[in-house]
Amino acid sequence: MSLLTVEGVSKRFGGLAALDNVSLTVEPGAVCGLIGPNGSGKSTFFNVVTGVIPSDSGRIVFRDQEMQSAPPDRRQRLGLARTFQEIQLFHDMTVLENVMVGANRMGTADVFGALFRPPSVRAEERRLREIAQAWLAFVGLSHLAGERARSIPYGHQRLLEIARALASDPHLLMLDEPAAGMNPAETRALMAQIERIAAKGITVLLVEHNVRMVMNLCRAITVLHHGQVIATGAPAEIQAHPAVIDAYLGRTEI
Amino acid sequence: MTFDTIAQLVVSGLTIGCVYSLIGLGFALTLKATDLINFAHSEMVMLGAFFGLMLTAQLGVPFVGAVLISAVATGIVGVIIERFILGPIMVRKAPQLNLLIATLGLSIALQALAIIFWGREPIAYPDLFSSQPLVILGLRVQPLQLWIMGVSLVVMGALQWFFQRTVTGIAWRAASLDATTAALYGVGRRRNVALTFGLSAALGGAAGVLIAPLFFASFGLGHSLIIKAFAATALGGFGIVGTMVGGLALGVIETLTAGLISSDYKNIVTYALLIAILMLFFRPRLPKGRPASDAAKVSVSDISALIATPARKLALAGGLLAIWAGVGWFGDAYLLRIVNMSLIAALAALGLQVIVGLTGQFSFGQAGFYGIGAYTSALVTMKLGVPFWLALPLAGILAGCAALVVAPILRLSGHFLAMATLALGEIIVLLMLNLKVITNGAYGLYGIPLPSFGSYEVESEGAFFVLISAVVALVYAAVVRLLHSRFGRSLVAVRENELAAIACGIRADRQKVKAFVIGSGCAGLAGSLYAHYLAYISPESFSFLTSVQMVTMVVIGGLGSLPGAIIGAFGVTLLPEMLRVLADFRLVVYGGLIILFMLFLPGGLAEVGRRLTSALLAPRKTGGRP
Repeated sequence: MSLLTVEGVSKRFGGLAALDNVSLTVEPGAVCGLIGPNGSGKSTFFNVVTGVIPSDSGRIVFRDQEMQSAPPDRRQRLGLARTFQEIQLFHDMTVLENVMVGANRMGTADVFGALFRPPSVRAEERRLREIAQAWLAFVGLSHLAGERARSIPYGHQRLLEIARALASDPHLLMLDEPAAGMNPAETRALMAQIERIAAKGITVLLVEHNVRMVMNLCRAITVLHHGQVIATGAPAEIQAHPAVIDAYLGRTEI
Repeated sequence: MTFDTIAQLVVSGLTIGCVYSLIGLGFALTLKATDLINFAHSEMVMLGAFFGLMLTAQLGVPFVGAVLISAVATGIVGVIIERFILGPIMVRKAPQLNLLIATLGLSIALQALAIIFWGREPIAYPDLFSSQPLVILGLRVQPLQLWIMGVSLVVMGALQWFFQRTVTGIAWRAASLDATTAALYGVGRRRNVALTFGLSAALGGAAGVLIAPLFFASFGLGHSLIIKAFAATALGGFGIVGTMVGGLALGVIETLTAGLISSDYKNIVTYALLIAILMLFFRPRLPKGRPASDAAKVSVSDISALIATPARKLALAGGLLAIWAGVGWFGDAYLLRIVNMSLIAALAALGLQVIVGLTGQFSFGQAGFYGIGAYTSALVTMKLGVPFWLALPLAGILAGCAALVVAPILRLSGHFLAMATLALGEIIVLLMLNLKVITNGAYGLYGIPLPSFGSYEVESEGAFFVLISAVVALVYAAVVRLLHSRFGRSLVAVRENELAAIACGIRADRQKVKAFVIGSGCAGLAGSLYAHYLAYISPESFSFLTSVQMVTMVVIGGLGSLPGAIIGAFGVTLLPEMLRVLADFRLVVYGGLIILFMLFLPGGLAEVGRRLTSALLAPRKTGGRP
């Protein structure tokens, strides 16, 4: 049984078919990859699955629930966590608070809990803090817990965003071009990090521009080109797939 | 109602509509070029009206000449304002709200200057044209109306020609779409912005000369027109041609409402229309993110970390208690009165801090909810005999409920939300004025009973001081608890980055509504205290100016800082008292100080306090980090 099933999803922007009848499945426990050249529709796909952009047609089933019309916050509460291509942090909150917001799904206290603070709410607050601290330690940012998010270096901000997504204990972690703007050394560290996440049994869907990274990390890869899926399979199959070679290198020039 | 009457109404509607279009165009220009809603634009209209008055009445310049010269003069004023006040603030990438407050400060200062030069009384224009109506196609039209329409249409035509046919105009349009790219092609950003402000102010000035013969020249002229002009702009979709059409449409709708329904309700209709248009067409479709590169330079101040040790907490609490007891024991009636008024304002400002400072939603209608609280409390005690201790929470709850009813406007963001809440506040005041059976209209309610607990009546200034400070302390403690919780974090997350907050599973829309209800509820409590303290309330105490004062308190105190809200409330209440010796110049200095604050202390007093405390407490730990 699949964790995420995307079936025949289409999205048009005016005359441009950004996604044309795209289907994809993610099996639990795997690191899956979605690659494609610039403008192939990767980001649109990502936004449609996370709910930021509504799709025109098609089904999105996550954990056996139809989600194509659910708002993004509900998808997160179901266990679909994400990061952003362009880092989106709570700049003026501390690093720890950022991750605690990520763990929001793990708590229930609201206005009345905050005002009257019964023991259960205090315990919950402690638990959220512990969860956040644990994930900060996991990505290696514990020493920055008290700093404001805006003041830490770019590479660390990227890790912070991942820790924030992990803190919701997601069933599926979607990473949107996490290696964008990173140098080769940082990319290698990031790959190691993703492997550690997968080793914890968290399913990862990696949307990446960097083909080598996806080939090394993923068991199943889907290739998008002009809004259409042109190939699906294991890394070796993808590498040999003629349509993929065409899409990336172009036919006539070779 | 005959066809003839309706046609007659349409003519006067088109006349006033032309003026709305001109003022609205000024709005649209600055909004497009700089994303700024320039509240000081209303004072360009006012200045134009007075310039025109001097030219026509004292120098005998003909009408059209007066329009042109006034437009040039206000245009120059506009460029000066951009160069020396708004430009420098924009260059610093200050938060939107700081710019808004700066334009409001400018507006206050310019109005005060106008009072010094031309007095408080509206001044009539000399008779420029014969008052003998012309009959055109069976309609009676005043020559003045023809002139207003004619001149406006020529100005709008010229503007349209400028933007479509001249290189400068086309460059301007390019820069308003993408200033960075336009700059790469040689369109100087600063020059373009200066041009925009000049043009915008000139249009306002021209509109002032055109409207003043109908409405008289007065210091408040622009203020009464500004929301309508903005409504015209919104109606036209913030485009140039759209605004022209929108203004005409609004003028006609307004005069028809006044003529066919009731003139009491014409402004309510206009404001409701504005809110409806914004809700229908200007709701952001996608939640807004904030990439790291775009972070506001002003950090939200938090000094709680500095008083984290028990000893420091104790020292602070002891100090505050000593000041409190000192004021209570030794303060004379005058001091206690100012402190009491400041504390009531602080209560409303605390509520506003929850909405604006913590959740990041602009609200320029806080005084409306303050008023709802005041009227609720006054009415239930006077008419139903409800005791004060019950009326106080009731006022808070009712204000909160009212906030809940209008909460859908929170789907708007940024400036549009500011405008919608402003219109909402005005609607509330208009309802207070017009529901005379309940509210006694403009006369207000007097003889509001003193607060009493059993047989004890709160009567002396000292007793009020104890009562009010107790309520403030209680609410402050509640807000602190709210802030340091899962709920509070979700509010701050929405403020910091709505897109990311939603991606973290936070129902941003719902949290905004909760913050709005809580904050408005605080205003309701403050309103109740105000009503029973002064024993007299009238609609004018809850007008737009009071809302602006509350926002100023929050910004001057420091956005997001709870102590800042209190300090800001004291500052904004005390400052005019201290400036009393300046007599007429009081408001000029007041407005000027607000501008200086936004220029040089964008983080507010809390930022100063934070820097001072951290410098005092941790002198060696400052090196290295930004």
